[in-house]
Amino acid sequence: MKKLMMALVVLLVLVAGVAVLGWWMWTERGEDDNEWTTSSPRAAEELDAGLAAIHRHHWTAAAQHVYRAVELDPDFIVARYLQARYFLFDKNEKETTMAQVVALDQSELSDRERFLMSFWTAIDERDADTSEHLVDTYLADYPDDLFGIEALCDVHWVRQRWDEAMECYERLLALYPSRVHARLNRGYIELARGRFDDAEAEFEAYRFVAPDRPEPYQVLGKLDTVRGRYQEAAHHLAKSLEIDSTYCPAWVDLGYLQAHAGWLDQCEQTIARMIEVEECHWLQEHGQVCLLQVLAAYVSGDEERVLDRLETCVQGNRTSVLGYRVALASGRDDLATALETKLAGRLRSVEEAGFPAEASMLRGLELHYAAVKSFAAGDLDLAAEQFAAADAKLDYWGMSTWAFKLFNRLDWMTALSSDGRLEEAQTVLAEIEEVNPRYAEQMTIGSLDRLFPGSLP
Amino acid sequence: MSKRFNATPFLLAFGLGAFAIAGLSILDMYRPRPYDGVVLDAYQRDQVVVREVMSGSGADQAGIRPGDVIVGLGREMIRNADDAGRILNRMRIGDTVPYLVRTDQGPEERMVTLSRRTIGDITYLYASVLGFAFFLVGLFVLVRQPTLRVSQVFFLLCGLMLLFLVCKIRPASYSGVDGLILGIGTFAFFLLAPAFLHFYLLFPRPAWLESITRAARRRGRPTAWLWNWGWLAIYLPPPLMWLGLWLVMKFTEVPIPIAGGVPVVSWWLFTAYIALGLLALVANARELAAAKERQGMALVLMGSLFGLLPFLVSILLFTGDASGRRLFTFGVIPLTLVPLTFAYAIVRFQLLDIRVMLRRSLLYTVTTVFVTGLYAFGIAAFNAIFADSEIAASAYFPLILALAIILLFEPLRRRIQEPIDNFFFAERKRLQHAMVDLGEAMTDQADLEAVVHELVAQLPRILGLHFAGLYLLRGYRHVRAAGPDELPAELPLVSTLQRHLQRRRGLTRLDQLGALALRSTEVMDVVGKLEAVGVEALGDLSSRRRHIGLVVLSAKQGQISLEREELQLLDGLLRQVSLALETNLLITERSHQAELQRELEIAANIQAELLPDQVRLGAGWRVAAACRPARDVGGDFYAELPQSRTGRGAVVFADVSGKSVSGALLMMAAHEVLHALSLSDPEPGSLFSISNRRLYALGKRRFVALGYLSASEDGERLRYLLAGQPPLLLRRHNGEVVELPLAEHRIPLGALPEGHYLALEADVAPGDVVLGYSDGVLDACSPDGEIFGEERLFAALASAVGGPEEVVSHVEEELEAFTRGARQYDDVTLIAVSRSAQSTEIVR
Repeated sequence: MKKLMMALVVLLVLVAGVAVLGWWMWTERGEDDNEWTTSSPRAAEELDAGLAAIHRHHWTAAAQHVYRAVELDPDFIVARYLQARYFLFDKNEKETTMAQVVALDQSELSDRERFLMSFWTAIDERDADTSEHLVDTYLADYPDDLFGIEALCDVHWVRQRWDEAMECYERLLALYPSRVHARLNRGYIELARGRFDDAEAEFEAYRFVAPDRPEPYQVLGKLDTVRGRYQEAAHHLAKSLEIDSTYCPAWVDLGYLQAHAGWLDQCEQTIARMIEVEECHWLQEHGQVCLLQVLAAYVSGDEERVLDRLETCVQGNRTSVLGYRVALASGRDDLATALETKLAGRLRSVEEAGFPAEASMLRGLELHYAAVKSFAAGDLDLAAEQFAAADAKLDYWGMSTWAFKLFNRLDWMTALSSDGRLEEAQTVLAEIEEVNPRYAEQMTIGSLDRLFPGSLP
Repeated sequence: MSKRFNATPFLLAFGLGAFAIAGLSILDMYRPRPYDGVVLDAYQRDQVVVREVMSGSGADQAGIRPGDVIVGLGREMIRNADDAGRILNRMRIGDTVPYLVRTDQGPEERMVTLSRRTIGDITYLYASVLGFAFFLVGLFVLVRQPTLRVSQVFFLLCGLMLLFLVCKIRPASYSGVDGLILGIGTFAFFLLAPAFLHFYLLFPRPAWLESITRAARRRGRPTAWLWNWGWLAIYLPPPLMWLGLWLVMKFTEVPIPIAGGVPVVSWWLFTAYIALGLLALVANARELAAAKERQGMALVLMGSLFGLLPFLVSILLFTGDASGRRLFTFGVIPLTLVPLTFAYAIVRFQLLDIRVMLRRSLLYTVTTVFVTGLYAFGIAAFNAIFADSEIAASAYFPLILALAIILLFEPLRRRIQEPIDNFFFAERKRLQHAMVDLGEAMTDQADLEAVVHELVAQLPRILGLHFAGLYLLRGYRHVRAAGPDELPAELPLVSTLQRHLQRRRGLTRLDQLGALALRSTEVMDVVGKLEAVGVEALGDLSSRRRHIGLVVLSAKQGQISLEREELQLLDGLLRQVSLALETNLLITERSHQAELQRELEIAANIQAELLPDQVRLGAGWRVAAACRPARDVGGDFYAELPQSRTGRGAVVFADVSGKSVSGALLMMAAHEVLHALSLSDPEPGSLFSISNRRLYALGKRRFVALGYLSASEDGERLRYLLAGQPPLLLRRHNGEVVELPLAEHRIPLGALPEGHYLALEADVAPGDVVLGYSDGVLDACSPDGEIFGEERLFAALASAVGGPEEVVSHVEEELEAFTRGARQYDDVTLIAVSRSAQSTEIVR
């Protein structure tokens, strides 16, 4: 009996010991071993830190880590490629360096390194099919690899397959919950679907993980703008610019916010300051400043100025919803036609590139133009139908202000009410107010019934 | 019923594990750590839901509220409590940590300052103490009654209670062991209710289950499964319900209300189990005949009702987190009644046949501490009351207090001690008194048989045994002197066993002799015989001087075994019995010895009368002889053989091997053989040869050294024959002493089956003296241990003046002088012969 007891006790202790050891090893196990081809462990650590920073959108820190990795091991191929891809801003230098790196002997690289380099190359070349094939092949061998899963999610994202992208990011976050890239993209998808609370939760998670970055405050500010929470939006965008005063998207969004909110003086100041920021000169080149000025002029009711700025915008190859209607209302059919032509061109190129969501959005814009034109022609019934069709094509994300769907709905409501379909108009209005209770009230200044009074019955 | 599965080793292993896990939980709870004050909902595995926020904690101050969901912590997003724990464990006390919480108003960031805190609070401490109280009571019962199924189940119940109270009623700690401990606590909770029911079904004896079993056995149906595996049916429903709940949670959105950290429905099941158990307890009580057992059952019933009922009510009625916890605490406090009443019932009413014998010194210490505390409290109260009064300022105040303490302390302590003694030691006192009475009765008894029968009759009565038995040593066997006929009539004296019992002193359980039995088949045989008739313990009866016998005791009536304390008390009694028995044996032996002494005296007289007053060799020869036996009766003798036809006499002197009675008997035999054979007037050689055969036939290893003296045919020479006797010494008239030659064959008579003895003749001139003697002369010792030896004999003979009688006297005197003060070990015979005209001599 005693011997049996002793044996049991020993067995129990042994089992407990093995269990504790196993449990400790399980809980203390590290992430997968680095699979970086470098003679310097510190260089590998720096690259890991750089990649983590990239995925947190900590670009400055990322650049520091990646540069340090290259310094520590100049033959570190992946680090050099990453350096060129993200942190060489001179286009020629960038392309030359990347070509040099790709030409190096890659036989010693690990599977992960080879995959990442070829995948990044395919992405940069906008070769969606190749990138997807590369991901599938790699994940077949390494189903739980962070980089593989993230690449797959990005493929879905680029191809705008929202359901698959959401599912993929979910899988990624289950493994790596602090991956802000996934949080950001999930937030965009939720936004596109009109799930503002969920989108906000994702952006808040992003902000929580990267509170020292301007990006999360900017997207939160933009979201608040769509929802009519202008004070909160102003706070977020100011915070974003406080963190990085050269962060241009925050300047643009701040301007849009101020225009939407009717803070026109502040909007003018913002535009003036934005122009002064050297790092944001590209905004002017891309016509963003122009469009903002059109919006400000439109909100202020200054049609002449709208038309004046619109001509600049058109020259800058931009489309403008506001400019189009003002052009029609003021008899500038040439401008309106120019905008239609540019839109058609963009739509064609997007469809050819295989981005269905963006194409859908542009198709919605095209329908919106058509609806405005129908309204201007007095065909209110057709206009209402076209606005409804446009609404089906649009979502709350994809156009620069994220508010275009609301704007389209506002016009749709106007068309319905002008056509005497008041109940339907009320329904649409309720939908607008559900998203942004103040939007309908604020944007009446350029409404279609005002611009085209002759079209009314 | 076939053999039952012995679960005790497994239960002890379980207990060890439970103890370790509980210890781990307590360590985890009381380790200082950075703490946010958040209590998580353990049932929300996919998200980190705040169940409760400790008042005043960092989380409380940061505005985190019950129902919030923590999604991020320390700039990292988290998926579950493990993530949170991992991150928090990296933090330090005093760090301010950002929390991202999802509230009703949306996601919000809160800055929580981590405080230094041991998570375990007073409630947890209380629950832990209660849990260990359960465990210790269970362990005590199992150790006392390891083979009883009910004590095994009780231990399981107590172990589960320990795990439930220590591992389940605890806030989440975020530590690595948190999930493991909470999981084990939950598991224990699910098994707890079945364990209660199982216990109630068996406690204190499974009377109605036994009746079912008997009925089934009468019908020839197997019953072992009922005892071994039937109880599994009791334990299955809770895990099945748990599985069902898990499936519901996994695959549906149906909300499952939680109370006390587990689904409410499981509490209902718990309640149902307890209700069934209490009914079983009542049903069991009705089957019990003894009033004592029924009283104990009633106490357990009350303890269960008033201990478990508030606990269950508080859980079921107040499921809200904050108030629920408070009331849960109120529910836990009455739970103390359960271990208390169970323990009290088991000890007070000796349920499960368990008797507690506490050390008196321990109780004295406790009482003293209690009284001291009482005084300290009294003095503190007195000081507080009179702090501002003149009495307190008086110089006599401390003196009065000291006097009060001196005068009141000891009487009060005694007053309190007395009822405690009566309660705890009543049984021991009764036993002690009974033992003392029995011991005194034993000592007073003068009759051995009365002692034996008194002991064997009284022990079963005092200890509640089936029987007792007593064996007394007779030669190399133990013979049953008293006890039932089933006991073996005799037991061999096994030296290994005897030494073992004497070393152990007192009583030894037979099951403790296992190792010894394996080494010795004789011990195994004895143990086997005793076990076969139901003997449980074996005791040695020995005094310091001798082994007296063995006492055997059966098992006790009922299920209880002989306890250590009882065995210790019996040890004292057995020593008294040993003394009493030895005294009686000594008295008996003394009377036998006195009788024997008288017989020996008679024998000595007879033997002395056998020695002739005078011996003769015939005309011209003088003979003197003396014989002094070493004991009352001796082995030496001399005798004159009957007259031959020639008219010449012959004298023999003999030394028989062995002393005392045996030597005397052989001496008589030899004497008679020689006398009888000499009647046929044989030659000395023939006489010796025939006598040799006769004496050899009498007994092995017994022989007679014999000397033969007679005159030769012409009467001028001395004829002699020696068989085993020392050589004859011839002292010539000039004082020279020489040894007479010896025949070749001179082996004592009776040593060998055949002997060819030859008589020799020696010239003996007038004035010469021939001395024959037994070896007792040479071997006589002085007080210093020096032997008399040939040299002294030669010298004594040489210095002797006169004829045979003077020579014998002189040698005797020398011998006496040499051995004075020393004990005589051997018989001494002297015989002296000389030639003269007259042959008649005096013999003493």
